[in-house]
Amino acid sequence: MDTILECQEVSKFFGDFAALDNVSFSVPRGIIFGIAGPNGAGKTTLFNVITCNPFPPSSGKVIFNGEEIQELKSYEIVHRGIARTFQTPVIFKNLTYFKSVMVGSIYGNLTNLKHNVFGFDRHRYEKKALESLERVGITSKKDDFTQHASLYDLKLLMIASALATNPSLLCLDEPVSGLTDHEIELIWELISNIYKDLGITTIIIEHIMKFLMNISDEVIILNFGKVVCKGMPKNVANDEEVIKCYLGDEYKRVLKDMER
Amino acid sequence: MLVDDFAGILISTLVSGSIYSLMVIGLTMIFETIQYFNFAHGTFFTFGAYFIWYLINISNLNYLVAILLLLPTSFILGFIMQRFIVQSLVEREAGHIILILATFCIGVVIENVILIVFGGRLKRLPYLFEGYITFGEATMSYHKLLILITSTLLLVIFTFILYKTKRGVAMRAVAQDREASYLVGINVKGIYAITVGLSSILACMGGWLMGCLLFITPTFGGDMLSKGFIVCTLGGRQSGMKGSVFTSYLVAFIETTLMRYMPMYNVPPILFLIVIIGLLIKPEGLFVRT
Amino acid sequence: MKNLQYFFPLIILGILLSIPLIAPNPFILQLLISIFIFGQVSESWDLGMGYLGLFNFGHLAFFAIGAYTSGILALYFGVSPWLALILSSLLTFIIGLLFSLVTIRAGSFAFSLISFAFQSMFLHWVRGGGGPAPGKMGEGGATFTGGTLGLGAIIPIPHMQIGSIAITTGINKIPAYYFTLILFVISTYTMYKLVNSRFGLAAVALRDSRTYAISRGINPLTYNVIFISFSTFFAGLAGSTYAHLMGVISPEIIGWSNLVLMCCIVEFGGLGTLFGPAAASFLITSLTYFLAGLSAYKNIIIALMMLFTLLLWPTGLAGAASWFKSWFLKKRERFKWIRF
Repeated sequence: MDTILECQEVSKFFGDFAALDNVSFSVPRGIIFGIAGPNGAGKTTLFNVITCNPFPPSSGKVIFNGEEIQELKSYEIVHRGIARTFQTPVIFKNLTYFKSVMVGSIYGNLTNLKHNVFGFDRHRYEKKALESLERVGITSKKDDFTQHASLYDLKLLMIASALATNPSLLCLDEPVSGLTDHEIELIWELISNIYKDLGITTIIIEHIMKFLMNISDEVIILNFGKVVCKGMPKNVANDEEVIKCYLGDEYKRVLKDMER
Repeated sequence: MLVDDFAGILISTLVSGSIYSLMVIGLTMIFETIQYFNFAHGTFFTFGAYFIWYLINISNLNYLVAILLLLPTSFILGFIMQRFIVQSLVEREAGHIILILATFCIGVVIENVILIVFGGRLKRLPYLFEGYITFGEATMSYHKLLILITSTLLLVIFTFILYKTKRGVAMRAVAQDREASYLVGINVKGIYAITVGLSSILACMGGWLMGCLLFITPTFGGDMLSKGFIVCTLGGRQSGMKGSVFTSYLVAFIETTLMRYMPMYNVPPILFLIVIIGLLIKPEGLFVRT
Repeated sequence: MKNLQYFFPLIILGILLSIPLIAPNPFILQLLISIFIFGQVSESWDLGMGYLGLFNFGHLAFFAIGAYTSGILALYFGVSPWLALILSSLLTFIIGLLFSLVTIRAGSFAFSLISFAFQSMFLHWVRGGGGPAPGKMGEGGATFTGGTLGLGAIIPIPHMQIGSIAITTGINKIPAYYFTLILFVISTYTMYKLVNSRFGLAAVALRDSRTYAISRGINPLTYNVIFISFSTFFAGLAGSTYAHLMGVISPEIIGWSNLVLMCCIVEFGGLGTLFGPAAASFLITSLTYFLAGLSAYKNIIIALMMLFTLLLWPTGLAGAASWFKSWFLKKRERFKWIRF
C-alpha cells in the first residue's frame, strides 16, 4: 500500500519543553486516520509542524508523497496538496462566505506567479468555490458576511475552504468541538460523505471516541508528545497503555471503583 | 593630540551615553511591560527642560526646589497619559501600531502646546553647578559630571525599585505574562500607569540635564527620541536594563567618533543606516534576553 | 444595476469637473489641487496600512523621492518635465519594490521601525544636501538636493506644458486643476481595481487572519511587496506632480506634521477603504488651509482629531457611511437598488 504521509522521529521543542517527542507513524493513501489523546498531548502541534504553519518541526522528517516537506514554506505545502482546519474557528471577518472559500480556491491552486498574472480564469475558481460550498451544504448563505456566522457554519466554512484547495490530504482538527449533538452527527456524516465521494485521505484529531473509533481505519494515540499506541481502533481501545493515559496509573483501581 | 582626542571622545561618549540610557530605559520599560513604543517620550524630555526653565525664570523658584517639583510632576504626566488615554486602547487589544500612533499624537499636542506657550526661540537653561574640573589635559564641566552622577544614581534607584520592591516585582511580572498577573491579583492597569509614570521621570530628568548643555527648543526632545529609537531598535526592545544601557553607550561612542571625523550632517543618516542594517540582520535587536 | 454603484462617485466627479467653469476662484482651485494631491498620497498609504496592516513611516519619503528625482532630472539634467514625471514615478516604484523586498522579511513590526529609520535617514540626507549638484550649478555651490532650502528656490523647477498651456499653480490654475483631478481619478480608480481584485482578496485575508490565509496557500511576502510597491508608486507620482506644479520642493514636506496629517486623514476617513480617505482629505486639507497661519494650533487640532478618531470613532467616515447605508436600507427596502 502506498504511503501518503510519513513522520519520522518528529520532535518540537519550546525551550526545554518537548511538545512532540520522536513521533513516528505513517499514513497509507486512501484511509481515514484518527489521532486521539488527552488534552495537551501535542495533537494540534503535530498538525502545526506537518504544515509548517506557524512553525516547522525542531527535528525529524515529514515526508509527503515521497518528498520531504519539513523545510518548505507553509504555502508551498498547501500547494503540494495538504489542507487543514483549525481547532478554534478562524474566519476572514471582512469577507463573505463565498469570498472566504474563494481564497482557498484561488490561492490553494495558484502555484505559479505567472499564472497569477496572465490568463487568470476567474470562472474556474468561482466554480470550484461554489462546488465546495455545495458539498458542505451552505450555498444558500454564500453572500452573508462571516462576522455573524454561527459556530457550525464556521466549521463548515473551514472544511469548504480546505476542500477548495483541491487537497490530496485533508487534516481536520477537532471538527466537532463545541457543537450540539445534532450538529455533531451532521458533521460526521459530512466527513464520511466527503471521504466516500472524493476518496481524499483524511486525518482527524478528535476527542469523541465513539465517532473516531467508528470512522477511522487506523488510529494513533498521543500523550505528552509521545506516541502511546497505534493500529486498528479495536486493538488500540483495549490497549493498557492507552487506558492508563486517560485514567492514570491507578486505572485498575479506578475501573474497579466504577464497577462497584 | 591623540590622547586629547581620546579623552574628548570618552567624555562625550559617557555624557551622551548617560542621557541616552535615561531615555532608553524608560522606553524599554514601557515596551517590555505594555508592548508599545512611547512616541511621546521625546516630548517629555522637552517638557522637563521647559518646566525647569519656567520655574526658575518666571516663578523665580530655587533651582533645587524646581528639580524636586519636577519629579512628581513628570510622574503624574506619564501616569495620566497612560491611565486615561492609552489604557482604553490597550484594553481594546489595539495593535502596537495604533498605540504608537496615539502616543505620537499626544507627543505632537504637548510639543505644540509648548511651542505656543513658550515660543519657538532658543532658550538657555543655566547649569546647576558652574565650573570645570580638569584631568590632566582634558577638562570636564561640573555639569557633565552631574549628568554622569545623576543618571547613574537614577539607574541604580530604578534597578532597586524593579528588583527589590513589591511594585517592581509586579512590573516585571506583568512584563512577562499579563494573563498570569491578572490571575495572581496584580492591578495591571495600575502597574501600566506606574511604569509610564516612572519612565517619564527618567525622561524629564534627562530633558533637564540635556537642556543645560544645549539650547532648548520645543523640538529638541523629538531629536532625542530619534536617538532613543536608534538605541532601542539596535539593542533590542526586550533587552532589559543591561542591554539598553550598554547599547546607549555603544551608540554614543559610535556617534561621537563619527562626529569627530565627519561633517555633522552626515552622521544621522549613517546611524539610521546602521539601524536598518541591524534590523535586517536581527529584527529583535542585537542583545535580546531570552 | 451593477453600474449604479458608481452613482455617487460620478456625481461628485461631475461637480468637481465643473467647478472651474462655475467658480474659478484661485483660492478654491489651489485648495482642491492640494486636496487631490494629498488625497492620492493618503489613499496610497492606506494600501499598506489599511489593507495589510503595514505602517509605512517612510511613505512621505517616497513622495519626496518622486518629487526630488523629478526636480533633479528637470533642473540639472534638462529633462523634459513630462519625461521626468514618468521616469521619477518609475524610479520610486523600483525603489519601493526593492525596499519592500528587502524589509518585509523582517516582519511587520520591524518593517515599521525600518521605515521610520528610512524616513529619518532620508530627511537628514536631504537636509544635508547630499553633495554637490552635477554640472555647472554644482560649481556654483548648489547641492544635489538643495539642503534646507530645497530645490527650485532660486531657479524654479520647470512645469509641464501642453503646447502653450502651462500646467502650474502660477497665475492660471485651471490646467493644473484638471491635471491633478484627472490624475487623482485615475489613481483612485486603479487602486480601487487593485483592491477589489484577487490581490485585494489576498491582502484582506492576510490582514484578517494571517495563519488562516497562509494555510490556504497565500504567500504573504508576495502580496506585501505588491501592495507596498504600488503604494510607493502613487506616492512618487503625486510627489513629482507636486514638484512640477509648485516649482519648489523642500524638506519640510517630509516632516512629521505632514505624516500626522496623512495618518489623520486615513484614520478619520476609515482604515482599509479608499473613498474614506478621499472624503476625509476634502475635510481635513480644507481645515489645514483655514488654519494655515497658525501651524502650532493646526498640529494640535489634527493630532486631537486623530486621537478622537482612534479612541471613539475607529471606523471613521467610511464606518459612518456604511452604518448610514444599512440604516437607510432597513428603513426603505425599495431603495435597495442604490449602492454606495
